[in-house]
Amino acid sequence: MNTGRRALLLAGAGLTAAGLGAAGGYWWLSHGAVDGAESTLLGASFEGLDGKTVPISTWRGKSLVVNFWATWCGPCREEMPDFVKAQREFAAKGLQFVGIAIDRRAPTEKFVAEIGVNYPILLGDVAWLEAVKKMGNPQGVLPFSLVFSPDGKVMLRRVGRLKYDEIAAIVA
Amino acid sequence: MTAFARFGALTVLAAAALCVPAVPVAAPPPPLPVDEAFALRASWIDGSVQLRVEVAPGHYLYADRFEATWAGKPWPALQRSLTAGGKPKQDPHFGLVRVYDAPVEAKARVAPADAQSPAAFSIVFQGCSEVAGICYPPAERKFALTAGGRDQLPSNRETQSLKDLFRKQVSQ
Repeated sequence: MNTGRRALLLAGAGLTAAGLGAAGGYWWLSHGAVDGAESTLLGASFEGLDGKTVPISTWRGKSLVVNFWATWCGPCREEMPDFVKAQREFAAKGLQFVGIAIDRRAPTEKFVAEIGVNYPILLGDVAWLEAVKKMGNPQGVLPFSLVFSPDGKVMLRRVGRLKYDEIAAIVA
Repeated sequence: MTAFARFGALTVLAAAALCVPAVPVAAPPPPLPVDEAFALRASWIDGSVQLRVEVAPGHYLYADRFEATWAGKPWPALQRSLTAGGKPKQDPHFGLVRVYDAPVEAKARVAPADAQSPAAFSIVFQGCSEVAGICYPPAERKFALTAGGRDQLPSNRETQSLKDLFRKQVSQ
């Protein structure tokens, strides 16, 4: 094979791979295209357990996992130790968890202390259970997690348990 | 294998690798609408209201989270009948609780003073799906029954005043 033909083949292979990769990337990101509902969440503020109001935009630029949960929800409690582990191990890679408890302060504080939650826990009004219906959680159930890329695109929506392995794959 | 074939194979492999999503797909099944997970029907026969709640496979209701009201006031007779049943479940988070994972049947006599008017009663319930790994927020379903009415569906399919339900049901 002459040099010219080989170069042409290499270029063709590269272009094909790049094109298909871009298509795969597009598929991945468009899996959860950002729309008004998520923008509302990213622009919202919540009361923290210390009583201070915290805007979600505090964590702009991070790979952000927003987890809606409650102490009265068994599956929510079950997945949170995974989040504690992932926050500890992947914080240096820019991963940030934020928990939004659809709950009252006292039981939330108790549970957070019990399992040693190492990421911010905010208190959310029950109206958010209506709002999440437009974010890929049509039944408004818990737990519900949204993973945002550093530029605010939805990378993953999860109604139900989000596992450690999945989080690890996102930050890998 | 010719150089052309080798490049072709490499191209396909590279493209395939790039198209694989970064996160393995392990999403649980989407949750059922709450009225399919827990379908309520009521009858008023021989001076008693009979309530039946079908529980979809893989779902359960907490016995102690039922609330029955008649004309907006607590209805202890139906409440007792609803909370007395179920089976014990050792929950890793809530300890020993009673749950229904099979049809719920409850019955209460209508007070003679109320027997001449339509029965306006409501049921609050809360449950979870083991198959989807989620919990539903408390829901309220209202009935408007007349004596002799059989297998009536609730008159509402939308949860009313979620905030009030939360105050009563899941906030300690």
